[in-house]
Amino acid sequence: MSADQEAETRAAALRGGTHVSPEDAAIGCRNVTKTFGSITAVDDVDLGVADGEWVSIVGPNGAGKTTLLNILNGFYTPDAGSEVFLNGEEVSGRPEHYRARHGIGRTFQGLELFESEDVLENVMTTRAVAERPNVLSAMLYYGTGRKTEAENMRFVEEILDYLELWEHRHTTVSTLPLGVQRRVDLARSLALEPDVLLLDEAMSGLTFDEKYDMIRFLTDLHEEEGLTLVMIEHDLEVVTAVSERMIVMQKGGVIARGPPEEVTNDPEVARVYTGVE
Amino acid sequence: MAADNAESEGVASGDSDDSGLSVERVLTAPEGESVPIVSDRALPEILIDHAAEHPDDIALRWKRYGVWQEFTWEEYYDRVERFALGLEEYGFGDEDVLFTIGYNRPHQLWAWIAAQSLGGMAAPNYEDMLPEDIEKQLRLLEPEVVYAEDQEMVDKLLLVSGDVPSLSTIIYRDDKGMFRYENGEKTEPGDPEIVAYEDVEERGRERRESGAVSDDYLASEIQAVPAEATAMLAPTSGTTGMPKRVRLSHFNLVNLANAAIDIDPLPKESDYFSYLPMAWVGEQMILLAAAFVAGWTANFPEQPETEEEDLREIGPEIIFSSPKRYEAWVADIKAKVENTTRFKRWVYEKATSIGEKYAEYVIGDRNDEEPPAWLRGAHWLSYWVAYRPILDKIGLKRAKNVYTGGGPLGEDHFEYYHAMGVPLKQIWGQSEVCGFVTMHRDDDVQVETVGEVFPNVEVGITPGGELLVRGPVVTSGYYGMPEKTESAFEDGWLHTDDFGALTDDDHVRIFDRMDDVLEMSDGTAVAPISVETKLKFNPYVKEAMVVGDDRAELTAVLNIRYDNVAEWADQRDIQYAGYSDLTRKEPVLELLRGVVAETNEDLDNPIRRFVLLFKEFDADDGELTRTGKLRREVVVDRYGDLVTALYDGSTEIAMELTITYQDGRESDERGVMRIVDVDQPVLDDDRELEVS
Repeated sequence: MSADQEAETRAAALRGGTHVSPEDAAIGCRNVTKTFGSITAVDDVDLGVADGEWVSIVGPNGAGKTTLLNILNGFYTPDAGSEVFLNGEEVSGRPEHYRARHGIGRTFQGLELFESEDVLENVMTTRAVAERPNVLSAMLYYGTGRKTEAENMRFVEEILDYLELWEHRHTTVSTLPLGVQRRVDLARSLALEPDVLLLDEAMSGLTFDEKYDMIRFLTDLHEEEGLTLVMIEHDLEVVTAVSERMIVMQKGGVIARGPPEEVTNDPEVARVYTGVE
Repeated sequence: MAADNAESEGVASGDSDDSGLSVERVLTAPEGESVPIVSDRALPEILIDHAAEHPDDIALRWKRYGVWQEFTWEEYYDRVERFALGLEEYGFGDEDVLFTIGYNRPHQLWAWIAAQSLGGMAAPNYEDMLPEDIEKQLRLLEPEVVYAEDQEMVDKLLLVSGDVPSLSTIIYRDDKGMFRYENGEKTEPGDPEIVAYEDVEERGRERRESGAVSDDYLASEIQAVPAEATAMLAPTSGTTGMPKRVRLSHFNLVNLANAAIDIDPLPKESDYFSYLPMAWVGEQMILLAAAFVAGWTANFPEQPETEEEDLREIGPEIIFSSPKRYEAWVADIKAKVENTTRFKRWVYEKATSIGEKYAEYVIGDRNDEEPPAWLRGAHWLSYWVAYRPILDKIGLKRAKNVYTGGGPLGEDHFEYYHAMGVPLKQIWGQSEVCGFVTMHRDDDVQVETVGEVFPNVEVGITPGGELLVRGPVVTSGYYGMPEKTESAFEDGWLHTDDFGALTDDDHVRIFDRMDDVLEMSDGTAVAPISVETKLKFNPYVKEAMVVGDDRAELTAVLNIRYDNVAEWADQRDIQYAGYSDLTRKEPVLELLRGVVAETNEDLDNPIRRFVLLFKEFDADDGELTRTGKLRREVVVDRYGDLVTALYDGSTEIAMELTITYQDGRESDERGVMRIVDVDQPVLDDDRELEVS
């Protein structure tokens, strides 16, 4: 096979379909489209992320990355004909809280934290959402209500310990540096015991040291706890270093997917990122 | 100044030893203090007694997952037994060394006592040591088994383990991130076996439950440990080179504990807060000796980052801290008061003025008089209105036995704490004497001294002013360094290398290390440390090094206390980018010029010029010991050009320095520093800022 043919084959592979079918994936979607009026934010995207895999989504601003994440976790309802799968179950019609209880965790680029609450309260609140003691026992703080709170507290403390948030336990979130706030956001998503974690620019605005810390935590979660990670990230150096596969989006569609070292060498991807032909 | 004191007070008539060593005078404990010497007890035996006599009392607390986890004396012994039986499975036995490196955790303490129970000894290390320093210690100690806190410390050990063939097992406590070692991803063939603390305990538990050893096996092993066996190999501070390892026997530590408890008794229910590095002999003398023998509860913080909050939650009766910590608290209180409301500041100032008067009767010139009734009443009110809330914030509200040691704390600091009603006492000692041999007594705190001698101990002085010690707390020597042991002892006395004096009322005074005393060109001797502690009473000075050996004038190299100076600068809208930049700002230089000028008012030999170093002195760069003491020889050598510039009329100096990071990486930093003449304002008159 000539060099040209090899390049073509490689390019075709990069622009091919998912390596795992959406139905068999930890999280996946088929033919997902989302239009806002005349704007098509996500255009006929297929996605399959295998159990325990770390996938990064990259692309310029407005490429549809966050919209895709919002569709996966149920914030947005996609257009008719779109299908979303979670551990083999079709969840297209299910609301976000159902998906959260069935294994999807999510962090936010804009950090949707309770700013006037302290770190422990932020994470405990999220944890409480996951539990539903019956109303009477919760009101009387008796029996299962009391037991549940103690168990929740223990679980949340383990997360704070894991993410090294001890010293900030009783600090009001708004007074914390951005790097710590992003860790609190991650702690909150872990409070729901997710199988799949969707990370929307979890390292945006962080210093080198903060970014290093965040990568360390995510790597441990991925390797030690076996968490499936889907991460939107602009820093290609980080993406190449940590993820097993990457997906490049542009104008709502997927233009390349595959191992990071192959995708980043793809001329089409380079053109999208640098504008150079 | 120091020499004058030394000449007037250091030489007193007294006994002269018959031997070659000339001992001018010998001090013993104050009359009435008598403690029998115990020569047949090993430390683990005391644990057995506690577990038998009050098994359900709380022995230890460790904050974990935000909650104080409690361990009774029975559980304490059980954990020690399990670990010891497991440790034996890794070949550990009589006279073996257990090398430990880690934060303050019950596990490290259990590991020490487990090693001692098997006839071995524990060699603790500072958790922030660089790999090359760890390697030197491993080569000296040649341990087979190492206890390490977490992944970071395991990594450092693995980095150097190739050159230490004796090392066969690393036991880690915190399993975070350790899964990579279990699957072999981070280890190579030939590396030591890496095993979890719980797994060692589990092997010990299995041995006992399977009947492989009898239920009283460990207890009988403990009975066989002789009191004179080495229990700890405490590191020296290493101000003049690589830290040596001091052999401290069970006999040394038990007798030290008995003396300390006799001087300052407290009920068994009292709390001690363990947060100084466990490698420091000062921590060992309380955690492993005094608190252990007295049965006080030792409390361990959750993490180094949560120490302040955890200390406040416990509010211990017994607290032992380095001078640096007491200095930091004062600086912190003063900075906070400056930024509080006008009313609160007014209350604080009123209370301070009453406190200062009151302190005169407690530790000052009038300590032989009773404070008048009005002053007692005013101080009582000040305590409840101002001091108690402040003490509550820093965790000293319930403190009764409050000690500092490991270096001198300035007289101003002492007065400050006594003004607040905190009965702070200075102790003096070193690793070679289990940490302390003199201490202030309750009714006789003289701030210019380090107190009186311990029961059963003798402190002597040579004609040259060097202090000597002998008694049951004195080490038998250094591990693996017979030549150092030989030079440290003479005629049964331990040379302390501390330059001091014995006062007429039987107190001990320390001026400085023998090698550190400066001799100015006119022959005046100056103890730099006494000048430096005065400078550090100001909230804007964190560290100081006074220079003047063989010179006509004193000068100083200063480190600013970054948080406080930064806050001061923020309030004046001074823009800066980090520590280095802040040290170059003219208003900051002027602020510090004011500080030095104010300090000069109390000095016989004023500081003429100073420079604000563009970086902080750092243990990783070898400038401080791991306990925070200035390594004067290293610093003078490293900043030779800077010292020259302080005397040759230069107005500024540029320096390039290699900075070392915790993981051993290095980077080159360049800084330009202005030399400030204390008599010349830094700012032009029309740009003068309020700096007081």
